[in-house]
Amino acid sequence: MDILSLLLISIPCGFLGAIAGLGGGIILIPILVALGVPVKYAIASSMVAIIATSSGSAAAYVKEKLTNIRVAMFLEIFTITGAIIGALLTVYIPSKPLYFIFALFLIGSLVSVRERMSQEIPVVEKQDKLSAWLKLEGDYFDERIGKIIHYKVTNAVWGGLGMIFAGLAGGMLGIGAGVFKVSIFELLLKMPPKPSTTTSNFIIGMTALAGASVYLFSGLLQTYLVAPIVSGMLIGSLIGARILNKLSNRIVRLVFITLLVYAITQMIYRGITA
Amino acid sequence: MSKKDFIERMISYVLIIGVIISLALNLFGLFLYYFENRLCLEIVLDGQSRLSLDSFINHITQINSYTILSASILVILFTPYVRVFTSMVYFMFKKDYKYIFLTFTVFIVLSILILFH
Repeated sequence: MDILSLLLISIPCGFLGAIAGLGGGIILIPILVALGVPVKYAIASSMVAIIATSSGSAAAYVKEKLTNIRVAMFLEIFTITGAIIGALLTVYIPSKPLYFIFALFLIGSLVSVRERMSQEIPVVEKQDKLSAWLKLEGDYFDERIGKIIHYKVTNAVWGGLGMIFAGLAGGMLGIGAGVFKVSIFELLLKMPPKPSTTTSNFIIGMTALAGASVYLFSGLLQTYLVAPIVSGMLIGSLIGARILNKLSNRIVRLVFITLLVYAITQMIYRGITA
Repeated sequence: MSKKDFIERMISYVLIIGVIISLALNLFGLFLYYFENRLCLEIVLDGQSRLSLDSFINHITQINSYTILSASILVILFTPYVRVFTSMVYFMFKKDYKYIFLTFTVFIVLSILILFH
């Protein structure tokens, strides 16, 4: 295992993560393990990698107003609560049934996102009271369509509860749980695909920090292993962030669906082998 | 850019600065590692290459690959933390009490998690 290979492997992970709204941990961990990195080091490294993808892509997305800051600020409380509960529950609850519950949730998301493939931008006519009170709405310039898209967010309470579930999954599985978060943004909060992936990217950096700090103090971060991964993830995510707004919403959903199928397979596999 | 976009601009600057500093340090550190190891890029996972705050602080004055790469990882690690703090300060200036509450809660929870685990 050498530095150049780690750097080159991380670039596509960061690129895909930036486009699909994931940190890339779900892709990176199995690759590192296959390269001979012990699982605990692979998970710890992926936590820092998630922060790199999140910060690298969000730097561009926030400026372009693709990320919805208010939605992110509101949901961060829920996702961090879920992550803490998840980390505590791993000690008391057998993981086997949970993998199947997470897989079922993702299968449900897959079916719903597939049904929306033909719908370019979802339209919310009326917001619920909480969403309106928190001013959960936004606008961004869609480079592909060539116009400013204004959208409203709804179901804030359900979105918050969904984020607790996503945080729970992330805390228990040691990943950023971007696939869960993007599903909640799209399906519950009715956000368009691009703000969904970018806002998910923004939030996972913060939740990954909670996990990464644990690994930092427990000595599981290896400087020479993490460093090239951080470089690769940053470079990949910066490239991904430049491309996303030029893609059609259909392509963004297709990339997401592909990774969703991959995540479902992993959940079922881990459920069977746990 | 209008006043309404100020929060986006501020957060974006925090993230861009964090990313640029981290990436620059990282690439410089990897370059140093290459020469320190006699033009070899192989890595070994052992106790000596473990990232720890104590070790980093003790060697902070030395310019070697371990210190530079550790600094780069720590910069990217704490970029989201600075981002949450910046948002909180922004909403305080705006006197937007709903979002002061939300960002303050996240900041405190995150601080507790970092300091007491």
